[in-house]
Amino acid sequence: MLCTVWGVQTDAVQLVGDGELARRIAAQAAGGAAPEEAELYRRFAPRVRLYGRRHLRDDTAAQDLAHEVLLIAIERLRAGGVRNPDEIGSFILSTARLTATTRRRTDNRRSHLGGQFPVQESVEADFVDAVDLPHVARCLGTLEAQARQVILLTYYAERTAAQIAAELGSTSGGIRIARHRAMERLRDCMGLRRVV
Amino acid sequence: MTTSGCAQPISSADVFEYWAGELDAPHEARLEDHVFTCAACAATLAEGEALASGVRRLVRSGTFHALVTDTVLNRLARDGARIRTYVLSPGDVVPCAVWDDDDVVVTRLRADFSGVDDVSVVATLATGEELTRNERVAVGPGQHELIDAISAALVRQLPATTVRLRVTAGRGRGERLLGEYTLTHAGSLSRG
Repeated sequence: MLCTVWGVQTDAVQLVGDGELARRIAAQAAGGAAPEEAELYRRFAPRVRLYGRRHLRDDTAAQDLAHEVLLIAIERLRAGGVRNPDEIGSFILSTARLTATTRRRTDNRRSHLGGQFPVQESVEADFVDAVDLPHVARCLGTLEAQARQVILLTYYAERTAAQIAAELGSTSGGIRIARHRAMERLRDCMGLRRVV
Repeated sequence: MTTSGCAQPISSADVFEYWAGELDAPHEARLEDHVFTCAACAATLAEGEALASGVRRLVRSGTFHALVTDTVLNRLARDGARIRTYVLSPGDVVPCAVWDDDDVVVTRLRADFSGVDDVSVVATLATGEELTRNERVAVGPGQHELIDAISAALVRQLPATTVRLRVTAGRGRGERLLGEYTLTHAGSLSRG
C-alpha cells in the first residue's frame, strides 16, 4: 500500500544521520528528495528558531529566520553548494548567524516565506507554546519570594545578575546561584526534568 | 528525549545562563555549535526556552502574584499593562476595588525596615483564611516598602471582603510586627 510504503520511507529517513540526509538531498535533482528535505526541516527549523529567539528576541522574526535559513540550506544542498554534508548542522548555524546579523543590521522587512517551502507547520510542533501557563503560575508560586523575584527580573525584566544584585542588595554570584536553583525547581515542578 | 545519547551534554546551568543572556560570547558560540550537531541537547535548550518564555508570557498575561520591584512594574507598564496601585502605611485602612479594565493590582506596603534583613508578609481574609504567605523576603538597605503585585483577574474572583496584611521581622519568640494594613475590598467594579 502506498501509505505504508510512504510510512516506512518516512521512518527510514528519520533514522539516518544528519550527514547522510544532506548527502541524499544533494544527490537528487531539485525536489527529488522531498522526504529528506522535510526531515532536515523538521530537525533543524526548531534549532534555528531557538537561535532566533535568543538573538532577535521576537517570535515572529525567529519563525521567519527558521524558514529563510532552511530554504537557503536546502537550495544550497540541491545546487551542490555545501562542501561537507557531514557538517550540515554547522552550515545551517553559520547561515543563521549571518542571516540574523543582516536582519539586525538592516532592520530587514519581515518577509513571510511560509508559502515558498512546501512543508506543513505541523511538522514543527512548537514545544515552547505547549507550556501550560496556569501550570507555570502554580510552579512559580511554590518558589520562595526572593527566588520568584530573581526569576521575574531575569526572564521578564531582562536584567543581568549584576543589575539584580544591585537592586536586591546581593552579589552577582549569589543571584546566579539563586536563579539556577529556582529554575531547576521550576523545571522539576513542570515535569520537564531531563536525565543529564 | 533525554541527553543520555550525548557524550558531552550541555549543563542546565549553561542553558539557564544562555536564556538569561549571560554567557560570554565564546561560551555562547560553543554551546550553539554543539546544539546544531546534537538533537538531544537541542531539546534541552528548547526546554530552557520553554521555561523562560513561560515566565515571560505568564507575567505579560498578568496572571501571577508575587512581591516585585519597581523594575518589574516599569516593564509591565512598558508592555501596556494597566496597573492599579494602593499605597499603605502601617495602621492604614484603605478602601479598594478592582475595575474591569485593570490588569494588575499593586499594593505598596510602607514600613521602617531599619536593622532588618528579611521579613514575612501574610495576608488573611476576614474569615481568618490565609490568602498568601511570603517568608524570608530580603529587604535591602534603604528599602522602605514592599511591592505586592497580583493579577487583577485573580482579585476579581474575590468577594467583597477585608484583607489584612501583616509584615513581621524575626521568627518565633523574636518575631516583631513592622506593620499591619487593612484593605477593605469592595469587589469587582465595572465602568460600563
